[in-house]
Amino acid sequence: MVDLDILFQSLELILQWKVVAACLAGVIWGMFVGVTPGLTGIMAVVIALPLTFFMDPQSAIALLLGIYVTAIYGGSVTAIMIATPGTPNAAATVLDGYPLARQGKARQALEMALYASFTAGILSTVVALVIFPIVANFALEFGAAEVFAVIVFSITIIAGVSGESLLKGLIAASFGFLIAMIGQDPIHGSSRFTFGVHDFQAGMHILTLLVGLFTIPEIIVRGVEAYKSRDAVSVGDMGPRMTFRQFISYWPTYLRSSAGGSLLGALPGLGGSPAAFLGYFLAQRFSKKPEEFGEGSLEGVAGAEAGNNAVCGPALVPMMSLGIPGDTTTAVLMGALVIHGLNPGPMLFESAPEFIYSVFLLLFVALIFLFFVGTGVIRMAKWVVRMPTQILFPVVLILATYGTYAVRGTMVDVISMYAVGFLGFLLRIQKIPAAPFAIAFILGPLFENALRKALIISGGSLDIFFSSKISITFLTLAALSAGASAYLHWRLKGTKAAKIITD
Amino acid sequence: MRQTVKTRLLSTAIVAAAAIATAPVMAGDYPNKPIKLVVASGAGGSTDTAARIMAINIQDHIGQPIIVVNKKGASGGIGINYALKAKPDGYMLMEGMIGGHVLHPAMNASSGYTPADYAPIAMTQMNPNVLVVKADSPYKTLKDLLDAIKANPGKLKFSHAGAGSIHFFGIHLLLKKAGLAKDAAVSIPYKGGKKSMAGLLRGEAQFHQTNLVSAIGFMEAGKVRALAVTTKKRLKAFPDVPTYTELGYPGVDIFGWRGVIGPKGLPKEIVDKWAKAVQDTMKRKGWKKMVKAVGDVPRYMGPEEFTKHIENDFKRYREMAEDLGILVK
Repeated sequence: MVDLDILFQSLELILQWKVVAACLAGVIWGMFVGVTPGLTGIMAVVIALPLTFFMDPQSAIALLLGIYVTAIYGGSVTAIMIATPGTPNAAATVLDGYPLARQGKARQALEMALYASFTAGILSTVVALVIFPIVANFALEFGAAEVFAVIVFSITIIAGVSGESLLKGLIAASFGFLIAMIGQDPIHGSSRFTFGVHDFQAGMHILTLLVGLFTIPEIIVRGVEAYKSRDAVSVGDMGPRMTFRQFISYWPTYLRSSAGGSLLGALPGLGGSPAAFLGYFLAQRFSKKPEEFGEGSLEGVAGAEAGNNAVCGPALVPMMSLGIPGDTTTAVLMGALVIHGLNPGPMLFESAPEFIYSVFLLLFVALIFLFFVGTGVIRMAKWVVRMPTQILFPVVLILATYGTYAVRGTMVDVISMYAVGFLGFLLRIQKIPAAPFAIAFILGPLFENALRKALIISGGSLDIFFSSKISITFLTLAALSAGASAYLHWRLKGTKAAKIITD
Repeated sequence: MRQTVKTRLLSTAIVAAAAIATAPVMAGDYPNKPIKLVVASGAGGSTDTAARIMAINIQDHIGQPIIVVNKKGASGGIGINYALKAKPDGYMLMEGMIGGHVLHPAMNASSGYTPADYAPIAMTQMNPNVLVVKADSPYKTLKDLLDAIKANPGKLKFSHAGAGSIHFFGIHLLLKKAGLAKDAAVSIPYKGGKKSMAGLLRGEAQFHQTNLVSAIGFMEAGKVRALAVTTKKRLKAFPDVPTYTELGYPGVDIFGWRGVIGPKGLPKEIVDKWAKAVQDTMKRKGWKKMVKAVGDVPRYMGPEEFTKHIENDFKRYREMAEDLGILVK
């Protein structure tokens, strides 16, 4: 449990103006980067890293945590406004956030994203803070077989976001799995499906895929629409604010999606994107109106954003307790700690417990700043909805192109992005959904890696997947989830058919 | 009148721009603009951190800002191929790393470069490796471990940071020097050194060789036991841990290194200027402190010595890759 004495000591560490100012600076910088497509959270942290070499450890970590927390949220702004995830974490936010904006409810969608992010951030940090000493070794319980089981469970999300046709969802997922295989073999390190292109050895970057898949088809479809109708007006309206009652009414979603996101956050190597999709899936599965998902459901935005922001706190637990960072951004945070002589790992909790607590407290400070800075950004978003289509779309196209280029600085990525965009457009004509594509792309490499590693460890025996309670639990959940999806699709078909008959 | 002033200004600007653009590589005024330092691995990784520590310290000695550019992918191959395409004018250099500069081309004949294609300038730091087992492991010494591998060929597993990583080659070098078959132990790859340590702690593998810095916290906490280090002398912080050399395996002296590397054909003046600047930087207290904090040991090698070291490393690892049958054509 929390040691109150140490907690107060750590409070003293962070309640200094320079620490708080560093945190605010991080939040503002993180927001700027988050809303700029192509600048990912990791870049924001890395650019700020050399600055931290000359700060005291508290200010350094305050600055970096501010960026870390905010960049995860910031990506949702462009996801909602222009169907372009600002960071990979915001992919699931596009699914419902953008339709809401199209319907003139941009303000509610943005507010939902902010409030859900804030709520989930606070909830997950409380969880991380309280259970830190207990679950310091939690990540070690998850070997290759256990991680495999969690990923199999996550893959059943595909059924949830497939829309009307499960078959079409699976077709989309196959594309995702296939494209994810380009690059280096995770076990042997040899190149595969690179067609002799050196840059393909690094695989396709997730932002290349997401921008191609979500932004480009949207621009083609809307562009053609606007051209045909000679109507170049903007959406024009931010729509009404979200009421407190509306916000509160989704509380079970915040809890469920935060729990899902926290779990994935505490497991090293999964990161924010799968968490966002899991949060989205959980929101949909338990929703009273699952049919609204994908058409513009506030609950969908809440689930996705709660899912990805719930990663922040728990991702710090394996980093600080075991020295195993949860994702790339926490790896950079860890680098910053090391520079200051704080070596994350089993010794940190004994040598500097007050520092560990101060990190979690700083997360709260960062979240509060995020709340206010985010509110300001939402006000500025009205410029986007007022922009006429003939100006907005070219601007989005430039952002998409530049953003894709900026991630790794290679034209191969830009060409790939447009190729994926064209493919995405063809899929859209066939009403094949994009979300399963993206999920499969994100989970595919994790799935392959965990499966192959587990089989090497077991010497080829499948027993390894049934040898621990954790993996059996998740595999059972996966089976239940897949079964439930199949049943729901079957019933949905039934009602649709019935509807046609009675009509 | 206004027009002419404008035209004149414009033409002056064009002439000036042309002069700058066509200015030959003159070592005399080098450097007159910021220099890019390409890091061929992910932002925030240990090589990236090392490069950024170097960049902020060395700019006082070079006289221009150093901009760190990350180009990751293909175990460093993407960034290095990119930097090698640069003009050898000293405005694009690389943070040298054993992984991308030696191990990747050593096991990929199609990587697009070998050490013959670049110009090593100076080594700045090295990191020794250490062989560890879990604290509750029955293997108390290197001999225990090797005997167990001998007695149960193909049973014991070791975790490492991916095929072709120094941790992977390190164990294979040990097996070879101990006269064991290359498949005497099972190799389990993880994404990065930290996750491979987690694999050991979890019991998925029985032994693991890694950078000292990755192991130090676990050694101090008593979670792992170190059986041998790859340094020539015992480590001050761990006087009980024997070196491979004293255990009778002097050939297992594998260690990682970082430094500054330029494209082939870099003028000697520029190489010398950088080598001197690196030496000056390495004298700085701030640099030393930061490098030690990230777990590296400062170690200077000048252009000739560094080049030779890289050539030897490359030869050794290429041979091993061929022996192991993992050389990708």
